[in-house]
Amino acid sequence: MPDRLNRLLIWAEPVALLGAPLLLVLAVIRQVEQTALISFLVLALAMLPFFARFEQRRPRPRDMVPIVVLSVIAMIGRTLLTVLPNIQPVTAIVIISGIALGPQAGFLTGSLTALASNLLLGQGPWTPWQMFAWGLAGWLAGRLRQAGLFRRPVAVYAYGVLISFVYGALLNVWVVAGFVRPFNWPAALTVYLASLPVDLLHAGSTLVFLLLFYHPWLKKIERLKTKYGLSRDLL
Amino acid sequence: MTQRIRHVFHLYHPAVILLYAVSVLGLTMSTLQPVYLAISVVTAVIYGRYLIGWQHFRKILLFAAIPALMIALVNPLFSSGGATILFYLGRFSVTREAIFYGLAAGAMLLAVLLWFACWQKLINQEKFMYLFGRVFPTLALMLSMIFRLLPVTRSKALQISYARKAALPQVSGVRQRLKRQAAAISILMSWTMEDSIETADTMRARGYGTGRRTSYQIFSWHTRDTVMAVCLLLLLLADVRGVWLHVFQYYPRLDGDLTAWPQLALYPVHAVLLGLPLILEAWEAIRWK
Repeated sequence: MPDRLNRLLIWAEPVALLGAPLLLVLAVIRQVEQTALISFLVLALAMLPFFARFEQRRPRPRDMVPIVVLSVIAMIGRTLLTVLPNIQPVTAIVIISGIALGPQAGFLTGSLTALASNLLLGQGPWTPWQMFAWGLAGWLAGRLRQAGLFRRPVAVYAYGVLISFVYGALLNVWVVAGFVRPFNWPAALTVYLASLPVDLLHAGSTLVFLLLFYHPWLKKIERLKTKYGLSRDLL
Repeated sequence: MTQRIRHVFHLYHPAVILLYAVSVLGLTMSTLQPVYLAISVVTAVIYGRYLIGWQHFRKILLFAAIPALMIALVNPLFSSGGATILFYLGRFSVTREAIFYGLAAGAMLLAVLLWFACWQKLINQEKFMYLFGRVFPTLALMLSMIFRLLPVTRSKALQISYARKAALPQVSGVRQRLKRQAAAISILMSWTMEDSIETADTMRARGYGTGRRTSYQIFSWHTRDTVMAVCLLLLLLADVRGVWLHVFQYYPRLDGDLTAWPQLALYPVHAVLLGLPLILEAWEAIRWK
């Protein structure tokens, strides 16, 4: 039975991840008054299959460690390296986690980093969005690697830049979808333009950190996986 | 400004506090009816000030006002909806409806941001871990591993940086310095990783994650929690009904009676639900005078 549930959850993951934005678009088009509220429910539903599948597998502590450590390094990097806000290695580390450890680990690294750092720094309506956006960045990186698209590192760097902008776009969705009515492009564009400098910094720093970390870290994690016999199928 | 450490509301079970916080946020986000919005904003300001203290709350208020103002401005500038055109700004027509909608949406955003600031105080890390651990024990274990590793890893980062400062010649230039820092972080990563896998094995040997997750603070369910939960649920039901009945339309024309009789009686319900912790504090203050 648990096996069947597990298979169901595997299927639910991409459906939930990609279905969430669709539902949101629908709410905007139909001009639902409670769009801001609905978006939270949609996000929670989108992330549930990942969490449920991970719980259901009852992983050993040593299999959690790579995810935990990468989250910790990302959080420390977020506080240590900040010269300017949004120059942070989180996105780059989440992508590396997805590529080195698999889509599910990538998702968990991203969402746990967001959750943990917001628990320390202060919750806001942005918490579930960050969890979702960083989770998506890690999950998609893992999936694309499995599809064989990341054989050349240039593809990874390009993905990093692209996903940084997607991250910024996702964080703005809540404001635009929930608080601009009737929905119109000029207003949405204004909100996005206001956040463009921040997004540019984010994309630039992701690129730099990927250039610095991608190769050495992939090798290091690969070595650790062999040395300690971390289970592959779980991640 | 003295800050109250203990609040009456903190005596209640975290699940009750969660019920309150979720209800407040959900209700605030579900209606743009002006009276409801005003009640929500005012209660959030009073309660936030009470919970957080004016000194700090002032900053939060300022920080929350910026996006709220932006929404209040963006809506009338670009929305073409609304029947009553007031004036033209370049190509854009500014309508009365869009101005009011902008104000309402801005107020809602402000209220949500302020309630989240209160949430941070109401459901602290300990309570969050307790509630989260009930549903997702493995993920809660990972979160607590993260919180444990943060200070350890920070001190490791310092050790690495001291050692490298002593052993390596100084470099200048942004590029070189960045490379140095990146190498230090890579060292930190593999060191922490190897250490933590050892730790994880001893954790397994000691049976982490086999039983139910415990917490430092003991949270037990009392009769007062049942009473409070029932009160909250009843208020929530009545308030949802109120939100449902109070229709207020912004487009194409402002339309809605704010003082229709039977609905009028439901405004206090909203105020009581949102201000419940404040009422408890006031009651306590009167009782012990």
